[in-house]
Amino acid sequence: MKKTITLLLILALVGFANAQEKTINEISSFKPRNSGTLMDKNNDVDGYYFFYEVDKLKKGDREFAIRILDNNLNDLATKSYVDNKNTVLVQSKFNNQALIFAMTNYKEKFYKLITFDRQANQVENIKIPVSKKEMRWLNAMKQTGNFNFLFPVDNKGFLFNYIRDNNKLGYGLKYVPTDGGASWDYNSPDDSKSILTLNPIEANDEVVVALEGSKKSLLSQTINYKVIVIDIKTGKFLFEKNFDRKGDPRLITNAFLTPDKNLVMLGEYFAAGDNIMKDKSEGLFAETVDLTGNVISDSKISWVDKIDPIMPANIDGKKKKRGYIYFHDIVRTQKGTYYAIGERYRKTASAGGIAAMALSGGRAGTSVTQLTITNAAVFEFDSKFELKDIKVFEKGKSRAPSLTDFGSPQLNAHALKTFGAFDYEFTQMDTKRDRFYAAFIDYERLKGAKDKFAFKAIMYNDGTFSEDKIYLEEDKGKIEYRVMPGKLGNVMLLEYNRKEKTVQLHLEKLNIQ
Amino acid sequence: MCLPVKFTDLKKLYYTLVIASLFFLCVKAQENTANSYIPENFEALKTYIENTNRTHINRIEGKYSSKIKKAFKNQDEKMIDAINDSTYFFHPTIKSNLDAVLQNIYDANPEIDSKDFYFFIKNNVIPNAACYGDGRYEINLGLFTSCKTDDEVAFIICHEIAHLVLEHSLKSVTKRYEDLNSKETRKKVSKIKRQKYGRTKAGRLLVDELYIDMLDHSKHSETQADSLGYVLFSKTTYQKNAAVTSLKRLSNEDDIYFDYDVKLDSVFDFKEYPFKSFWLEEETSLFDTDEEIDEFRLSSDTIRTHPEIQSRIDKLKKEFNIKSNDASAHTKDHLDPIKTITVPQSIQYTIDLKILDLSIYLLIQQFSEGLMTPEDYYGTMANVLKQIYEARKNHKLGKYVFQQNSFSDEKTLNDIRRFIHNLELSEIKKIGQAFCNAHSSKITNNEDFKEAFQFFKDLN
Repeated sequence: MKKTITLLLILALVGFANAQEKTINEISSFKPRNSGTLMDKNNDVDGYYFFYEVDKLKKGDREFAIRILDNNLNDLATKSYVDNKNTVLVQSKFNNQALIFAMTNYKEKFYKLITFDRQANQVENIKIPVSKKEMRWLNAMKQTGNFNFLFPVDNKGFLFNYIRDNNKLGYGLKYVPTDGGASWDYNSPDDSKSILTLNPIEANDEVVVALEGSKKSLLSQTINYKVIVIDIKTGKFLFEKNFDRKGDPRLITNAFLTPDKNLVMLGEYFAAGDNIMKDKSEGLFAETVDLTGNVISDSKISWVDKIDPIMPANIDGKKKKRGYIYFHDIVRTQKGTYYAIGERYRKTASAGGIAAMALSGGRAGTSVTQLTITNAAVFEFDSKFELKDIKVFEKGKSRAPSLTDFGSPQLNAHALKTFGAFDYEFTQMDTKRDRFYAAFIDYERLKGAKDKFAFKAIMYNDGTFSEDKIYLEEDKGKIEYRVMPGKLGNVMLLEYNRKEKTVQLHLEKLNIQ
Repeated sequence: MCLPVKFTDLKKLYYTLVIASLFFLCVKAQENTANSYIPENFEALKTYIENTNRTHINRIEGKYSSKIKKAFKNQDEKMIDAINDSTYFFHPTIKSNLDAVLQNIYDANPEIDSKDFYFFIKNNVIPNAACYGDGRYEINLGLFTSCKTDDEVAFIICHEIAHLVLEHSLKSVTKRYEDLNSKETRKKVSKIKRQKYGRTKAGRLLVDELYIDMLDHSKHSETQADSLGYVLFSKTTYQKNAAVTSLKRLSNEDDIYFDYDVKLDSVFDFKEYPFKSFWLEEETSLFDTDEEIDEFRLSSDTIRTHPEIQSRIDKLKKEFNIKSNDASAHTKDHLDPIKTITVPQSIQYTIDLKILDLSIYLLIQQFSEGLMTPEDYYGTMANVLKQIYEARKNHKLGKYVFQQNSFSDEKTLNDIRRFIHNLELSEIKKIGQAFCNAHSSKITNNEDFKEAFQFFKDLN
């Protein structure tokens, strides 16, 4: 904290020698609570925030400091914020018009949404009552990593997505306008007999597209998804696309609103009656609907008929079984082509798990199977969703013990994804330059040298792919790096020097060849 | 902790460069085994540093002497580390010419005990000098570049010697210990600690108060050093009004040091690869404000450590009735030879430490002002472009060159940073090649240029 630096400067000038200086430091410092990144839907970093507790005030209040840095790590603002002592800053987003912070208060049981305008003035303060159970569920959902708690709608407003404790668990979607429009709420029915969750995945100046999941009970392994389209001006339901298990089960990975105002949904399709969490998909699909719900096109690409024949051989020339591919993201370029980014994996026996099982006489709680995650794969489709090419990018094997030996590899993959078992980190879209960057962490087994972790980026630019790599340690491990998302085309490196015990943060551009 | 008393007010930029230097100095440390960064008589110099520090510590007396001694304890090791880290520059031409200026001062002021004096030349382009209080002094390369005559250099040295004579370094540290540990401060701290509410705010106000007092003391010391420095200076053969002109050289508007218009869109515009306006494109910031908003800003954050230069000049003129005199009477006998070394070195150290934004600025500025030959300029610039390419390729450029900052007062430097960071690897490659192609006919025999030209040819 800059202010602390002022104090430290004084103290450093005279040396940190006595208790008096330490006491002064103690009574004048901000206590860090937490920090986070301001990311938009393309994973472009708009800035960073730090939340500090400054002072104890009367009636259980605290003065907090919200420090905001731009995407170049420069200080932009440090704002004072007074609220109850149990306030926690959960997330922040920017929509080009305003900056929103979502706060929760576990004791007083409410969410609070605070917005700042472009002049950094606090303009709005929305309080939403909530139960402890609802908060617990919201936390659990957030930890899956695939839950959009705050969703920015560029130059319009923000969507706040939360859990509601109805007859069964449901959801609430609150729209907070920043352009002078009307606010609204879209909530799941109070009397629903299923557990309902919602995840907004796309929004423009006309509609909000959200994925609604429903299951009978918490332990149920069957989940049905449907896409819900809501009018952004009024919050009124427009139409839905149902992909239930019985009829046409599909797993939506991504959705886009095209410039000609159609909705494109991308993902994997399954055979009627299949469970999308357990069964192996039949292939990939792209369905386009207009904003009244009429299907314009529905393209399906079967694994067996279309994908397997053009799947590249492995490096040894052998065309092995496809195994499984876990798709992390499907992106659409400005040219209208699509790229599905995934990782190959297969279920294998775990030597360690088998040994542990044998030693314990079969009583060990260890899995005897594991998922072996291998190369990254990028599938290219044309604007009509015809498969054009599959590119495989070499990556070292990594293994994750199955959570259960009895579930399908897909079920394990979905569950393990939550625990970060895959090497995939994130995909960043640069819509202006029509590029994307898919990031992975790879464990490289090097001949004649110590094996190393490496950050790898697969980059698409102007129709071609290139790769860039940053080793995560240098100088025999004296220097270690952590790679985090940065502004478009950049990563933020956290460089730790073990010997000197120093930490440095710097932004580095990824190198497109 | 050593407390050198600085000559000028530097604030943000100075700290930026110091921090940058700290980051990058280690980069070259191992490489400089036999060059101007490590003195030939290093062992003797180490002994000198250790002895002066020990003598200085032994002289410390008074109520807080043991604590103050602790603060100075490791200063010798820190300075030796700094030498090893290429912080200083050693060159016989600079030494012999500076010694001649010093001799003039010593001869005129025989009461000054200069036998333990040593003037280190610091790799820093900011015009500044410092006194450590034990006989060690620092003069930045940038001071020689800014000064126009021996007379001006002599006055600044006299000012630094005055700091030593007046024991400002030790007094300053002592005062800070006294202030921090005074009954009054203790009472205030104790009261704040007992406060149930608003403790941090009260603590910060106390810090502010202490810091403002420290800054006032620092300003007072500067004014004292100006006066005594002038007394010492006035006894020399140098022209007296150089005291005024030297201070003027150090004055800068709004703390902006790099205000030369470098015209990047002209320097890097080539027929085969024209300059692209998006290389200087600014990013949209989260907030649309002209300056950083800080609701916790302390009063002391906006106060300078030194009095305004103009008020120092006015005070000196009034106190000593300094009149303007004939500028032709000033001498440059020693400064000119010094500049032949320090001008290229001020660029070289930025390249060695990979502060490549500053390298580009200094190269363009010094070439435009006729301080460099075309051969040297094109050769060094080609080398800088090669270094930028290599740093970007190895994901180190962001470590060496700061990112753009929309609040930066140093607009020119900010433009260079934006330019460097907006460039993609392939664009740096093309600019490097185009630069070498455009200027190869002007080069007769420059190894840097040849090497960079071949490097870019191989890449392209």
